[in-house]
Amino acid sequence: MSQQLINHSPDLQRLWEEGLEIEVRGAYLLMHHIPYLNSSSEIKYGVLVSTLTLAGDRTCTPDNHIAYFIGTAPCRKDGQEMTSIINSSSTYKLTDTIEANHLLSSKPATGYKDYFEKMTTYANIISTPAKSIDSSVTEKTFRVIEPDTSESVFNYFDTNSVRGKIDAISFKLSTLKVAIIGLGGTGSYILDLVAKTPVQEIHLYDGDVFAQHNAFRAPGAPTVENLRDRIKKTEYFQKIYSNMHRYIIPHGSYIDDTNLEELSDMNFVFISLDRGSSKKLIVDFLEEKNIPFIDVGMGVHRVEDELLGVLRITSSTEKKRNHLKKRVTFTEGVENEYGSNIQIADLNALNATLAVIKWKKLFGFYQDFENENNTTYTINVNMLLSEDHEA
Amino acid sequence: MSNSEQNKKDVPGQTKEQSIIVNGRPRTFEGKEIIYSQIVALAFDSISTNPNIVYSVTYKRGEGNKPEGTMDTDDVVKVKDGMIFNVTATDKS
Repeated sequence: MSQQLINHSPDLQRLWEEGLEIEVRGAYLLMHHIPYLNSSSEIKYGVLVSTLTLAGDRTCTPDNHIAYFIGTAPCRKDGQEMTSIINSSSTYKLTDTIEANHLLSSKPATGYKDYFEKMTTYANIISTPAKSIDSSVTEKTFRVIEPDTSESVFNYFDTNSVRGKIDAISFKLSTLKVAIIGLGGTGSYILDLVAKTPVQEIHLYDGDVFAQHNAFRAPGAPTVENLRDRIKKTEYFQKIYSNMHRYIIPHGSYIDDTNLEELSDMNFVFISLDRGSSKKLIVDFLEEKNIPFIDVGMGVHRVEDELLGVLRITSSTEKKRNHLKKRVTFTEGVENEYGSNIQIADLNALNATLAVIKWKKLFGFYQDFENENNTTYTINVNMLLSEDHEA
Repeated sequence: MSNSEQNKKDVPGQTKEQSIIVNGRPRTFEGKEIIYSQIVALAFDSISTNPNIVYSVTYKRGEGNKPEGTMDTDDVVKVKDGMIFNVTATDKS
């Protein structure tokens, strides 16, 4: 992946050819072994770091002029810190493996046209004092940096988290194995959102085929050929989302006694199932194994020529589980009694979004002061309510 | 007329007919308080309800100090004229 990026990007290629010790880690570019003087005029070596603006497997024009430096503060020959380029000094936790010490800012009037220009400009400014003391020091070591072999879960780098400087926060989700049980309207939107997070694995459970009515409440826009194929939902969605996220595992069946045990490997489970009777089996098992989960559901009714309804998001963690039975139906639904199974894509998407936001709160991605375990959104009064707070 | 003035006029045992909205339809309710099963019955009028099904009951524009919320099976809420209830089994996904 990193080597491919270097091969496809003329600016990175040129840095590499000229003997600069570059390394691509996540969506960051690191340039090692940059000589500089510390405040005692001793020669030291530090690392320059920049975000990378990418278009798939190649670089674009840098979207900002700032860089980071790992090391003590680079100084001039008189021992004074290079305040002209050091914007501020602190601990900048860029990713879980990159922690920088200084934020550098040197902006040419027209910006940097590529990463060759950006990195060599900073390297020259920082290394000039060291080189003037000892002409033998150089940043061009021709040392080969082994590409990062720890495989990313994404097929291309998450430059969105890098731009927002939140990759250290996104990292909190990266150890999780998540299951989505039921890939109806809401489950498929849950997948859409979870696939954009760095979770380790996403397991899909659903026994149905992807049919025409599903197209109208699933993310994306399937072709008529997709619908004619009548492949299982798990395979259909695995194929699409594997464009982006690597470890999506389709199971092609619902959960029953025969495969229930598979859930014991999960760190989190989304239950987006209509079948109340199989919910009981799943919920009992997850509680016994102390696995946190969220159950989602909606009820939409027609009144004259308009629709109304309520969306529900119920979470269950080791801190609170006793509210489930008064929120979730564990028998077969009311579909037959009322002939109503109205679902609309925007409501599925909202139900899924609220569930995914809550999941991210449970793992410390979003701040959570409310600690609710049941949320309802009532359409006709535009009301969002939090209940079943942690004791 | 404020709530407190209205309360003073209430005589114990007096039935008051109030207009409420349940699942988008106007309904009249006699009494000051309503329980979960009454509101479910108003929502699905003639159809018998399955006791094993959990309904999400939410309300808005209710009485002063708790104008909005949800109702559990054993909850009782004060009814106010114009109060809006929504009742549905939130079991579809």
